[in-house]
Amino acid sequence: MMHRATPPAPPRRAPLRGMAALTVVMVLFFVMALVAAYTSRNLIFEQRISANTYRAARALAAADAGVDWTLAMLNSGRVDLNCQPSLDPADIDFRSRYLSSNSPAEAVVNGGYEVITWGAAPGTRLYPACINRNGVLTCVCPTVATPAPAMAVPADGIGSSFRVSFWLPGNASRPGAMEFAARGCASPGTGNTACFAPSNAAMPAVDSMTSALTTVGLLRALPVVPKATLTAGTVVDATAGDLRVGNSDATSGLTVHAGGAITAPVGQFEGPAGSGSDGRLASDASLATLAAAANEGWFRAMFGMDPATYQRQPAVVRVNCAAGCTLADLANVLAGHPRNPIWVEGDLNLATAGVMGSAVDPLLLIVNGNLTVAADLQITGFVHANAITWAPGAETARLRGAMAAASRFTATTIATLSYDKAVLDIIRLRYGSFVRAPGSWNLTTVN
Amino acid sequence: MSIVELMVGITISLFILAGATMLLTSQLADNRRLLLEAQVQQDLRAASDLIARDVRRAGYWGQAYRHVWPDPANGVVANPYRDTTPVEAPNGTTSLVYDRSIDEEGQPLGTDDNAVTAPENVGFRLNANNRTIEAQVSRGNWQALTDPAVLSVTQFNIVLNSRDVAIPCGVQCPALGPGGCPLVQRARDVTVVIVAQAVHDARVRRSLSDTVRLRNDVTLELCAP
Repeated sequence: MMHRATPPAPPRRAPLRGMAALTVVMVLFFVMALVAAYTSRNLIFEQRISANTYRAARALAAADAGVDWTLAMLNSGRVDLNCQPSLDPADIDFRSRYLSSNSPAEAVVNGGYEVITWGAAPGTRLYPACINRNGVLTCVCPTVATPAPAMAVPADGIGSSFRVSFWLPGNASRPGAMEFAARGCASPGTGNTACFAPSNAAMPAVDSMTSALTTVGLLRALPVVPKATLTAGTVVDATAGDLRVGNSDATSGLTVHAGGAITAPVGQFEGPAGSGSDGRLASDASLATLAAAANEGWFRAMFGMDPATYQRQPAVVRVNCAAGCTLADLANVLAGHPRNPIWVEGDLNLATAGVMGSAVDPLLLIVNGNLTVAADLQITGFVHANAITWAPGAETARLRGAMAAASRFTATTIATLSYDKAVLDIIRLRYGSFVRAPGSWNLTTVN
Repeated sequence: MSIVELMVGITISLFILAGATMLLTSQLADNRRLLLEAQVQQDLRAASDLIARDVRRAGYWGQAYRHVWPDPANGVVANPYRDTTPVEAPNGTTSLVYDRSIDEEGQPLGTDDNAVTAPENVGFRLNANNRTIEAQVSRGNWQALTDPAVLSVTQFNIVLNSRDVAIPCGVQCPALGPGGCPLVQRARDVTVVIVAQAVHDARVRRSLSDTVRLRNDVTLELCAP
């Protein structure tokens, strides 16, 4: 009988071998991975140090930018709450906003400044501040009325920032000098702990902070005021006109001061009360010498530097009038820069009625050309030109302050000029460019 | 498990282990080198930062406002901290000593004795003997700025460049100082170059260069020699 062969049993699977070795190898790999991870800690550490250095450098750069920005703003014209140029008479210039008060009484003192605060405590000083995002500055220039204007902070918190605080140099008001600290931060921060916070209630919560201290001094635009209402290098000719000049200031006393002859057949000249003199001084040899001097001798004597340097000063607003200018061409410059010296390069013909300068913000106008006044203009301040003509149309025009011509002054109509010491003192003590005082930069803890 | 299987298993794992160990040792060696480099770099950076930070304010005077509208009645005072030694430091100079005021620290702004006291006379130099950079923390008191056990400074240059700008003049041109010589305003910058290597591995060699504009210009009278 055939037996069906029983099928062979399937071969028994051999048990898994090498399990121990595999486990050991895996454990060793794990340990190695741990060691590798541990060593990369050093790289992270190194990166952190680099980040710190980077932040510190950013903060210093921001503080430096703050110093430069403040210097530029001190020499600028009217600005609004966001530090943008403004023509609105309600906006005062940066300098008047933070230093001293913008009143005629300031000229009585010696030219020192005070810090304006919006409250009684020194901590409530006004802090102009900016955020720099990709080279675009977003700034605030608070006023006493609006001590904490809104600041547009980048939503992602990226950007550097600085805040400026003004200090009295050497803890006292010093003639012509002011000190400020620019606090630079590597990031803007937010709220009360922001770099630009309008108070000192909290330390800024920012990545890195540096504060730089600088003293600035005023380089005066008119270091010495003239002693006469009208000064001319050569002759004063009013043969066809009528000169009416007054100077009631006993410390100066002159009405017309000329290097050559003063010809005014129908003039009226009033010196200070009780002086008994009409204050005219003609053919002054020293003036004639200066007027004839080479190398801009007249200008250097009057303004303390050569004209090329003078017109490049940061505070001087230069208007190009190569083809001649009228009052309309100056309108925006006058509205935007109430307390800056205005330099007109070329002739200026004022043939429309208007008001230039005020007792509070007098005009300092320098015309590097000829000036003609031929309309009803009310001028308050100091005007200098190469030659000045007072022409028909200007019968009712008035000048309060002083006027100087490097060569001749000609009047073919009634010219009414009066000396105003208060106005001239404001120009002498307050007008000009702020520059760094050498030796004043330091890192500081004040901010 | 037969002995053959065991041997094969061990051999394979030994091969794997050998490879992994080689990897690990090279990783550790790299790491050591990296650490050394980081240490050298860190020391260089710290030294350069310290030098830059301090030299930047060279010539600081707490009463710089006395430059502004000076009152001749009280006597015109020149900045007492304006000097550097050497005055001109050309390429190859290894030492610079200067003054800056620290009288204001902890005091109100403007506090200054108008005299260079010992701690206000500071500077940096190369010590060629033990190859370190030294800082003068006070007059005559030099201390090592770098660690001689880690860093061997092979070159240290501290170069002072200056440019003179004539002071604008009015009636009197050029503007003259009390000695009858022209007055200038001097703008200065300092370039620091440090080359150093690790003491434990001469192959780890780094150099660093930094230029700092000195923020405090000095006014001085230039008399012809």
